[in-house]
Amino acid sequence: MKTNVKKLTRLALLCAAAIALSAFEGLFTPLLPPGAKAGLSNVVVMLAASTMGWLPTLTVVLFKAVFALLSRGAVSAAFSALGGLCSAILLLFLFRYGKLLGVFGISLLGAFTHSAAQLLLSYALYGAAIFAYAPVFLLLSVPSGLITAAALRATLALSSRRQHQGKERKI
Amino acid sequence: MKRKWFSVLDLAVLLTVLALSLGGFLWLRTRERAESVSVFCGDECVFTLAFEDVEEPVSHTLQTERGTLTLLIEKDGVCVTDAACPDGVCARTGKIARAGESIVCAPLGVVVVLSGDGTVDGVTG
Ligand SMILES: [Zn+2]
Repeated sequence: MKTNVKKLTRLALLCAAAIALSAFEGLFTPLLPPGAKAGLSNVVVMLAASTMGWLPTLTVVLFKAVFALLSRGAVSAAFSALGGLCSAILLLFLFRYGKLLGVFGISLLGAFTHSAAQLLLSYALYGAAIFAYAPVFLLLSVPSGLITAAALRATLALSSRRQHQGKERKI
Repeated sequence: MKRKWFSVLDLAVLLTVLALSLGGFLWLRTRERAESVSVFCGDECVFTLAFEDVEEPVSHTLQTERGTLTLLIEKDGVCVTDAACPDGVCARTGKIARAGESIVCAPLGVVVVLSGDGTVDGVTG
């Protein structure tokens, strides 16, 4: 019971963090359409995928989509949900089975999948015009993946120091 | 076993993403002529026009939540003539004419994109 409460608290914190980061991202008005975001809130999805498993990770993704729905409308929510789900599933899979990949590689693949899924949705909604954007959009997953990986590392280092373990958590 | 921060396979992944993006840029360069203009506001496409339907220059004004933006669409390209943004970057971009080019107004959240029809210049069928 006690561990359940602990888990639930941690999940609630992660959801709150994801929403806060999404809102923070929203301040930088879209530099790229449609629904392209720097992916700061992906840090939280990475954290959940690497340390907490399927259900918490998908819950965080769902929370992000609901936040997008309430703050930016249905189209944004669809972009958030599709990009989030595709990358989260890949992240979960890679953290489990991608033994040869480093944190950066997983982060990059997650960001790339996020972008690619959103591009496909843009194509379905708006047609081929969107392909003029594809290269920039996909290239952005490199800095996005780097930032996410660095933030994840920093977060894990911090949390393990808090727990007085003196070493980083295994992910 | 602790996961590495950066592995050899990561480098391969990085190079693949870079190659895909670069390939995309080069591919866009081959589609010189723009066939249509699309305007995005936030996450939504709010306006599309094919250049073959443009006889006389048309002015189009967009109402966004953060202000208005006016486009001038000519037979051979598009420019932003007036925008309510503080930086004026979009208006200073000037006229864009080739497929793949874009004008971004970050403060207003508006993006103007030109796209081709996929055919290489001079090859019609
Ligand atoms: Zn502007």
